[in-house]
Amino acid sequence: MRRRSAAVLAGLATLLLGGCGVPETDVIEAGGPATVQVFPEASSGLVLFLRSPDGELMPVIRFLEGELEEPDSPGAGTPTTVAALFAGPLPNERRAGLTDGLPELPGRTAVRAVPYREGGVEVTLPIAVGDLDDLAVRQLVCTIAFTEDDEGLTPVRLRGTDTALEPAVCDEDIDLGRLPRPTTAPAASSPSGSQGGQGGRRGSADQAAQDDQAPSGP
Amino acid sequence: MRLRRTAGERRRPFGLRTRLVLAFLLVAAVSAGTTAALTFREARNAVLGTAQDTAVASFREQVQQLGMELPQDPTGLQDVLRDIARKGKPHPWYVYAEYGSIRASSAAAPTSTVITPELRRTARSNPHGSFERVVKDGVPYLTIGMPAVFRAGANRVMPTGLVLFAVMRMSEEQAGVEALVVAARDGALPGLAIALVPALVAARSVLRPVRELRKAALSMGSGRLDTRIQARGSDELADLARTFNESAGQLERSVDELQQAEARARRFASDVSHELRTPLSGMLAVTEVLDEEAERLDPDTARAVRLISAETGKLAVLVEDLMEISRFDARAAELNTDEVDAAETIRKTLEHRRWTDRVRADLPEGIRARLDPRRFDVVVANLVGNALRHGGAPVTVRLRTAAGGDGTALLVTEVADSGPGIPPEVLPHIFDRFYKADAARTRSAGSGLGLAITLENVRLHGGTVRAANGPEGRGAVFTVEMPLRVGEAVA
Repeated sequence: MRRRSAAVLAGLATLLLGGCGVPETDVIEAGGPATVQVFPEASSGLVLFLRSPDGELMPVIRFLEGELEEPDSPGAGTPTTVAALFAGPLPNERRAGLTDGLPELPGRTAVRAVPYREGGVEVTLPIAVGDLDDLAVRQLVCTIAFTEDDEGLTPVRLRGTDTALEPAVCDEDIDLGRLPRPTTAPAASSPSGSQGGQGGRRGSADQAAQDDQAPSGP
Repeated sequence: MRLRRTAGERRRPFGLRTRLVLAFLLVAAVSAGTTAALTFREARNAVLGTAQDTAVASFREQVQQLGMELPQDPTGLQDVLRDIARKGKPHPWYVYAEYGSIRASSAAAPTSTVITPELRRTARSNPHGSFERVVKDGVPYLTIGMPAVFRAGANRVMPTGLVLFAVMRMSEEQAGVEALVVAARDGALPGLAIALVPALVAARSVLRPVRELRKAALSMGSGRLDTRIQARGSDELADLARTFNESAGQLERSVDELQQAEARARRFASDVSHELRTPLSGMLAVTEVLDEEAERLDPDTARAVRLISAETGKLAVLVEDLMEISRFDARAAELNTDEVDAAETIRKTLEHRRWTDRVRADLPEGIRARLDPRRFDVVVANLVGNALRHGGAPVTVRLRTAAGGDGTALLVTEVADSGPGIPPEVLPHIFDRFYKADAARTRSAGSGLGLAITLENVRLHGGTVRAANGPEGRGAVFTVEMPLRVGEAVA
């Protein structure tokens, strides 16, 4: 009886003493993010997606020089935008640690954008898209999507000199901050590589990139 | 406890009272502690929750008022942070920002040591506000992570890549929580103290009947069979008290009947002795005449006459002894103490019986004792007579004084003979009435009551008598120990 009551007392003491003061907590989610005003607004500026040193997708919005180039027609301003992305960050962007992470573009005229038959837009680049890392593909997809429409919902199919990637949409807000995948990952070992064509319709940019990298693997 | 304290009556460390009080205190402690703890937790969570919600909401509101370019300009960012830092609610806070490789803050250092990697990771990977309470060096901090998003088109928000952190000290909340602890403790401790009162009352209500029962049992044991307990209430203890009373009543009746039967038997023996005494006196007077005339009778008749005379004398002694024993049994024997010289008393006893030449006396002079001379004479005479009859000569009487176990002075009288000793199986019964050591010798000179009368006389003096065999089993030794000063020692 003494042992039992001692245990009860000990438990009570733990409950009382252990709970004193202000305890630490885990990270607790509390409400939505803070919505800020950006200017120029996304709809009236040139939206490019660069990358941070931590491998995050970082949107920048530049003032457009001159008039908007017919925003309603698919693929109208895309070659200009893509060329600006490949040209790399401006000095103020570089100061914030932003980079483009893309290879040099051999020729500006080589970028072409046409409506894709299954919806969206197909952009042809004069580079090997199979060599691009996930983040680079997402940068391209999001930059093109936000050029095509204000909300960046247009599916984008990238075609390079080597292969064409599966159509992808810019759902970057879900993938924000995800660590960059190793670009050298042998995707051929993944079973999804062969069936990505059927099942990857709503797949993310990474998944599309991964799916199309599979056939081009060693 | 007013009774004298016997071994069983001291306070036990885990007696009923202690156990009851402990049980009460335990229950009180558990209930008070649990209530206090639960109340405390709720109150604390409310205090902290209010502060946190206010802080997170106001931080979000502050950040939402920002307008910015993308990319961020480091110097402009710092100004913005200082502006937000001034508007901390409910308490001032430090604001930190991360954008690309830019680390800016409203404080001197661009990064905080309080913000944990977990919070940074959550704030950067998850488009939600989040907070974490951190205790660093004993100071609790609330850290809030708030990613900034911008509106793209009508229905879509995109992360700007800018994440703001606020670090707020929770000193006031800590003080409030500590005040809660103090309040909980101050509430619980008097509760415990108050619980002591019913505990003691309950213990008392149980212990009092138990104590009465105990007292009554003690009283019964010491012979007061009319002891009864007042049975109050209808609980188990009252039942026990009633049972005790019934048993005591039955016991009293049984003992009463036994005593009455015994008294009747004693009175009968006493009456018989008395009734026999009168005719015996007459017969003794006649036998003296017969003894004188016997010489003139023919030899056979003379032997018969002498036998009748001798047996009549023994019968007279037996009747006298019986009457003496009856007086002891009836508690009618009285001590008439007198200051005497012990050696002198014994010497007189031996002279009156004409034993001086047959008994060796070792009697130191000058031992003054207070005792009943007549009864002491009976004791010595019975023991010496017994030794002379059953033991072998020489018979020795020794007298000395000794200190008793409780420090009183004792008068020790030893009567030793040189006979064959007492067989071991007889020793325990040697003082029994009519006990014959030698079963074959049915006829003896004694009445069979001598040693019993000796025992009663010694007892009356508050002393003891014991029989033993001397060294090497030769000769019996009877030792009488009596207080040297009988009347005074008892008083």
